[in-house]
Amino acid sequence: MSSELYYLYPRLPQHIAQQTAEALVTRTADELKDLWETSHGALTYAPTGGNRITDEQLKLLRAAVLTIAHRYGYPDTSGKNAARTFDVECAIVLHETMRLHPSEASHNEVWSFLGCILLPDVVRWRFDDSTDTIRFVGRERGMRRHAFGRLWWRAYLACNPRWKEPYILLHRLNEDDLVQVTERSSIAVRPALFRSLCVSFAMAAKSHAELPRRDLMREASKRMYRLLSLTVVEALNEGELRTLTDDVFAKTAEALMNAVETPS
Amino acid sequence: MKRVQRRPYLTPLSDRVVIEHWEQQIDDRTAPLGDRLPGWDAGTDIHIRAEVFVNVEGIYQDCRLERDALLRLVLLWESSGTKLHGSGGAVDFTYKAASGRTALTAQIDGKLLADTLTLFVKLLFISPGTTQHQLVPKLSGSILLETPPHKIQLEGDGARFPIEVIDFTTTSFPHQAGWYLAWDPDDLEQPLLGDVRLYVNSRHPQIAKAVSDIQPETAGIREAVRLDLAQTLIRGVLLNPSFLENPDRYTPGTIGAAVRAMIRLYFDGYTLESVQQLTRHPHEFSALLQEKMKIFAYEQ
Repeated sequence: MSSELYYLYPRLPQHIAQQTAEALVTRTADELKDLWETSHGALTYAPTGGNRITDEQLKLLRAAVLTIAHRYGYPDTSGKNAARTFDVECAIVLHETMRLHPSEASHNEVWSFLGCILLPDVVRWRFDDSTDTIRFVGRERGMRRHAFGRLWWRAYLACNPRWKEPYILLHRLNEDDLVQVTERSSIAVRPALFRSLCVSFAMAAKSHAELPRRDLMREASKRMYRLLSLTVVEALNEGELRTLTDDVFAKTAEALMNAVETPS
Repeated sequence: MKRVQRRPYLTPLSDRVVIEHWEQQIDDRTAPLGDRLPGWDAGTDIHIRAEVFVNVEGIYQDCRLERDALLRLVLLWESSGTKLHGSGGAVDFTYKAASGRTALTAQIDGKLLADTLTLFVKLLFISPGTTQHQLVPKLSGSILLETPPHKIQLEGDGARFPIEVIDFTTTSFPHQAGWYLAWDPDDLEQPLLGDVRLYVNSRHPQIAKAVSDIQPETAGIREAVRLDLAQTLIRGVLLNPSFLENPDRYTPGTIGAAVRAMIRLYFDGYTLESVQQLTRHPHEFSALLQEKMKIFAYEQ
């Protein structure tokens, strides 16, 4: 076990989170801005596996997220571009400051605490056009659609500390690209594959600018998904993996170009 | 992911790669790897060793590979809680390698795991060398053969309970007690992870250390606590008329459902009435429960 310090986060039971979220989606960010807490009577913690985060540290986390939100207009309505930039910056801050490991992050209740108790106003501000409680309540490890869980997981998967800019993939890929690749569960459970596929995509999108990015990523993800039933990418080294993902995009681009040239 | 029934290339017979032992490395010794790691938590890395028999000649013959084709035997893992996949040690070989036993190891970071850990050994095609046969894989990393999975339940009963280490002299609990399970046997609809707590007395540093810093040498204390919790919970629910009337009324995640599952697991084939009868003979009930729960089993 590494000697790095990791925090155990409060966990809000799902049934309470759901009830809380149903009330939160009827309020505005402005109404919620003073209704956050660092504690709740129903919270639990994992018994072992790290140190419990303190109230002070939770307040610091909230302050860090709120600083970014203010930069993009909080508590006023966020535009699409502001939301996208907020997501990138927030993902990096969450991943760098939460001291959370995947074992702890895989518990939905951790994300429910963040969404429903610590930062409900920021969730409401970021998703002011939606009344879907999933933005507040953790589902599927928080990875899908949770306001903060999906950002932490993206940063976890995309980060390579050996790169000069460890989070560069978050800047190079847009929301659609990231949704395509994170919602293909067989790709988003293999961090090295995730990164390699994203790097190959960024290169392919540049060299095939004539092809719609969305089509390129969607079709390549499907092709990769099929390959995963035949190959074990975890056993490949970085170079072998990159050769594989580059090849996937080369073949995808070729197929898309052929489809354009030979309309049905 | 959809499982591939037939692969578009030649594959070896399944007995060309056979796992002979799964083992776990604990400090300087190895122990057989069972199907559960009750003392595990995310702070505990898992050191795995698989002893594998490989029939090299048979593999090359079955797959029509030339002697310079490169293959890889690799230990792989995946965890159902985090969904993450990873690989451990690998051995690359060509026909020149002799058939026989080889060991694969993996040091798996506990922070990447939750719920269960599943281990596999897979034989992969890496490069064809001078092989010209049409039915060889086209892709490096293609799976030629995989062994049956070995699944391990992580996070035993002890780790699932919220535990707090506190000074009992500041509470209404007996000041010299080692631990106290706070729950209400009359309200079995309580969420297991919400309202049930195990308090450990910080005035007993050995016990506090045993539950907060998982080490092999303190396993005995944890096992004693585990047995006591099971006895307390089972005896408690069997005094509750609602539970006896209909134990299936409790929804998943409640204390009633958890203890119902515990009784059915440990007393498979017994009626509730017969388990209740057993609790009237505490010495027999305790000994039987020790056996069923395999208390201290991993110290043997």
